[in-house]
Amino acid sequence: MSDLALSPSATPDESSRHRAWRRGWYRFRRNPAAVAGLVLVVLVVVAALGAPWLAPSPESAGTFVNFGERHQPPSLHHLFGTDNVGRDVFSRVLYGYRVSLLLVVFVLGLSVPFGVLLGLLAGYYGGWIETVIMRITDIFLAIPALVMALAITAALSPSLMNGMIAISLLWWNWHTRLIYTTVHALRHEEYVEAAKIAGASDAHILFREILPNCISVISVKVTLDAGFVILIGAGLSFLGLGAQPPTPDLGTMVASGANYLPEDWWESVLPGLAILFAILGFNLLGDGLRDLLDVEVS
Amino acid sequence: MSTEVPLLQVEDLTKLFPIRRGLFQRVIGHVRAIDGVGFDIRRGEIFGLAGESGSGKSTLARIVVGLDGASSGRIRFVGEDVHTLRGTRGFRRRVQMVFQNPGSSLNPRRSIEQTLSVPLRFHGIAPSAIAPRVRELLEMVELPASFRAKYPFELSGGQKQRVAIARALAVEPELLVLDEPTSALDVSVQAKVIELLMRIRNELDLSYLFISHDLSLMRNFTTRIAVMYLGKLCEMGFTGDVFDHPAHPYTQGLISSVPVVSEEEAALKPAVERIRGEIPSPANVPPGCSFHTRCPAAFRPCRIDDPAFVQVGFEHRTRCHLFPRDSTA
Ligand SMILES: Nc1ncnc2c1ncn2[C@@H]1O[C@H](COP(=O)(O)OP(=O)(O)OP(=O)(O)O)[C@@H](O)[C@H]1O
Ligand SMILES: [Mg+2]
Repeated sequence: MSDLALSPSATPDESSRHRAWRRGWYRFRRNPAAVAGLVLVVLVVVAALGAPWLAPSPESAGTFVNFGERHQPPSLHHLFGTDNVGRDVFSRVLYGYRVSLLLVVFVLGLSVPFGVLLGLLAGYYGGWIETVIMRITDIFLAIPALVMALAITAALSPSLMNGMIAISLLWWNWHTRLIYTTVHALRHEEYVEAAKIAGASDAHILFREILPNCISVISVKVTLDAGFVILIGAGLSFLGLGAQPPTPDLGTMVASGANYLPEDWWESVLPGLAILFAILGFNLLGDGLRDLLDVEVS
Repeated sequence: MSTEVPLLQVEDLTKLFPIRRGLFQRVIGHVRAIDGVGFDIRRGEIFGLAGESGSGKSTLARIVVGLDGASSGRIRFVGEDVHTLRGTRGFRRRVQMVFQNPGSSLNPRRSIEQTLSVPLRFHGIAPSAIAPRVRELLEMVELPASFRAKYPFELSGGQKQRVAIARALAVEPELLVLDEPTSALDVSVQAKVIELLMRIRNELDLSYLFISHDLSLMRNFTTRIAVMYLGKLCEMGFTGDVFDHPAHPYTQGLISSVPVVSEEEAALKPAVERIRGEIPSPANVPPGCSFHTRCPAAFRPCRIDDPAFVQVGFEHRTRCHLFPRDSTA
């Protein structure tokens, strides 16, 4: 059997999955922008998760006041200076990342599975299911996200939770459209039809055959989304419609710090840069993943 | 012939694909992918279906396995209408298919074991019996058991096609539809896969509908052969009869375009010109006999009347004005 001898050579104890990952990681490492993105994202995640241990003044995250140390410029003692009630801005930024990531996890955790599910159904079944789902999606796509979020949070009372709900309501449709397009291309793949002939259920075909082939496109999209969700969340709270004081939210910090510009610039500029840092990280990482996985997400 | 009910009966099958245009996707015409096709496959038989690209072979295969419905006509499996059987587990279990392109017929995200266990799971095989059965299937297609854990990207085309064959065999079907199972493979690998298919058929007592664009490929292992042109059968008969006495000019052309190995073989071949030109679009089938635009023997009636599918020998039929009516001996 000559065609047997052609299997790729490798150390026998190494699993094929493992090998594929190593090859991917090698290619990823050669893309400096993507590596920079990964470093930024890791820093943000470490900051958020480790805030209680990393923050020099964890009490600054709350209603703590220290009028003796108001408006201190950045120093070794207060890396990012202090705010108008004497709280350590650096500590608040670390906690701020917690809020940002909570927002990302909540919004994407809610909207992505929902959007993906609808996209799968519309793309696979076609017919009236497709028509209904895709027309609703179109309506949501036609409304600018921030405007809608403003309207919803203004109608409900402004709070972090309502802000998150508002953004989630706006987010699923992008995933529906993306997955719909992907599934449309996949549903006539021979392996899908082979599964049908093998007697597989629709649930099996949707979730075991098609969905795994959407994972790369979803992970790229989710990574890029994370940056935008942080931006919109910060925008909402900057306008006072998102997280409310004393929640250490980066957008809120920029807004309240702006009252003391330009003298006490650190109170708003440094949290602003922190937002930028996170957005940049997720975008660079997402772009890198997109190149690596060779998918189209727009 | 015995009076046993054929395994598969295809009766006057037609499949039209609408051609849509414009803003409102109005139907402006139809592709006649299959047009009045009829044949039987008997138990234990290897039935060859030959035809150029676009002649409707895959469309027919998809209808036979129940992936698509027909526009009209009927398919019976052991006497029962496939349309009513379609989608039922029982039918699925008895008719399986191997696709043309091994590259896309295995899910890139699923291991060979996962792929092979799908038909088993969905046909009520006990979970504990799945792993041993997967091993058995790999052995049947001459792949080592270690292939369970591999992913399609690690396999060669021939190995992928073996896995696809194993998947089709998993639920012990009676009829295997093989849609150009070897046309994407190198010639040497092709021979091995065909050898494997023949061995399996003998061991498991299967019937095959073997589809290929290459008529000569099927000479050595098919029982009967049908030649398809633009959705219609133009010749059908026992393989030996079709190769020794091809009736239709198209069949003659296909056979004579096969390179000859020896002088004697050349002397045996019918002296006809090779087929000229390209196959017309099935969206725009020529009137009369659809082959007349390329036929070296075409005369007046060919442009006007579609010839009937007439008997020209024992179970040998052709659709050509050179054979005006049943001339059975
Ligand atoms: N889903 C479809 N919609 C519209 N037209 C189709 C569809 N499927 C097939 N056709 C058309 O029907 C005709 C027959 O196609 P089919 O795939 O059955 O040919 P084939 O003999 O298998 O060719 P090949 O050797 O290239 O595989 C072609 O003209 C094709 O364009
Ligand atoms: Mg085909």
